[in-house]
Amino acid sequence: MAANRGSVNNLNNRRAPNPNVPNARPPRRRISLATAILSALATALALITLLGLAPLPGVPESASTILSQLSSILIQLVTVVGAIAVIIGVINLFAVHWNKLRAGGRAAPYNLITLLVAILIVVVHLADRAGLLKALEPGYTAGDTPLVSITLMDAIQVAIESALAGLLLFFLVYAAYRLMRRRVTIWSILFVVTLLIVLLGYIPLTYIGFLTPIREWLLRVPVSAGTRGILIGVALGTITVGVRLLLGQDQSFRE
Amino acid sequence: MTTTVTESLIVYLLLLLGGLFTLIAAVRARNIPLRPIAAYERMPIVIDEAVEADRAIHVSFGSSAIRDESTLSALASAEILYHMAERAAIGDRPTYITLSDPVTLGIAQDTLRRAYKARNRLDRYRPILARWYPQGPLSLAFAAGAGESIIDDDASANILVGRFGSELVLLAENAIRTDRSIIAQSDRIEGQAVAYVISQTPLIGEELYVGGAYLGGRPMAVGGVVALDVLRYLTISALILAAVYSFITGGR
Repeated sequence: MAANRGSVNNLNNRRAPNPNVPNARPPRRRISLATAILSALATALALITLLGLAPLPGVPESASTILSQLSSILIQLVTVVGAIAVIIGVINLFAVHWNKLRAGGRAAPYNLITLLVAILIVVVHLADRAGLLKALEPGYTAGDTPLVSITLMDAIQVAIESALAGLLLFFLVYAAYRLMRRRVTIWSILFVVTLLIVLLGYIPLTYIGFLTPIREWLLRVPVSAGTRGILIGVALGTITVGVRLLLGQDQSFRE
Repeated sequence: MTTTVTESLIVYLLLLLGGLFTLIAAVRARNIPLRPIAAYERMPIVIDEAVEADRAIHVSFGSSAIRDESTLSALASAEILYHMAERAAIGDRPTYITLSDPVTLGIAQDTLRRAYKARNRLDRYRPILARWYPQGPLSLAFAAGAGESIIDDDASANILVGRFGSELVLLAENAIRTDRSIIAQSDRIEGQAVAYVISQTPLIGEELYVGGAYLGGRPMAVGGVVALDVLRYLTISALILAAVYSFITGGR
């Protein structure tokens, strides 16, 4: 819809897309050998995984079995990569908060607390795994799973997250109020009225009991229909992105 | 996971049709007008405003992960990030990303690096501009951390695309209070409902997946939009036919 007309191959001199030029051709990009290899590799692995998970009718049983095993291996590899990525994530967390702490600023005390707590939890977890905190676990017998770090997690993180979850309702109501202030359209009015009916419909008071069947109908018919519509749309969207990936045209392989 | 023959056939049929229409439309991409989507029209404007105001740009992928069913929404979000970061790279303030999946962290860093490189400003790129906030049992730890960064990093444009639940409102709360721009979307239904409330120009459902066509205009991306439309109309036709058939046969 809106891109620059041009065929400048040199990336360093590439002009930026110009949204004001209608029907313009996007700039050509030179595809490097590494990009081509990456695209081919991703396409091949995606196809193997797809064929393994959803066997193509007509493919011999032996070939399907091999593809299925290959796809299982690939999925297991992803799990391993995910586990390693958590370590990279933790390093990123430390680096981000350390840099913010060094830069100072309003949130520096929070960065310090985050760093200290992160270090503390890592130390406690390692000590727990090594069996050094067994004395802190009442009723612990040899061979049991270490519980101190899990208990800390339940006592602190789950409790805090539950408290935040309780606040979500107020944030949502405030956001709905802001919505009505910002754009009073038929759709925003419909949204807020529906929200009020559904919320009030949950209140077990007899004089607003007539709202209960309305709430149930709203959830069963229009909400359910809208939900399915959006989810079908998302599914179709993922198919088109998947197709682009299988065709080796995904942006993430390109420089 | 086992798939029945019918399910497999439907998957391959959809992929085949999607690929076919993408390729056909890509050839004629220049002559295909795209219907306006308010969020994509607004995105370059909020980026330009942020650059002019010397403020940061915040993009969040939520819990989109390159290892589960949200992989493609993470890739689509990364494409939007690329175009926004490339546009913002001329400014002095950075584009930073928050996410809660460590595997996606690598994609986010690489996308940001490519965007800075495309503008010949690779010296401005720092890996820590992509930030991982651990996800607790309810994603609220991530939302609290990423939400705080909106104020801390003085982000005036917030593009929240990917996978979010109702915690999206907590993430956006700081932006709402300080009247910062928000463009939001989620591939989860509860997150999508919240996105509609918090954003003046939300992206709805499948609109996330056409970002490449609207922001970059690459022929294959435009072809993808056409394929999406064709698949959408085919699905609608199939649903109507199924309903009519069910009505005629009395649901037998």
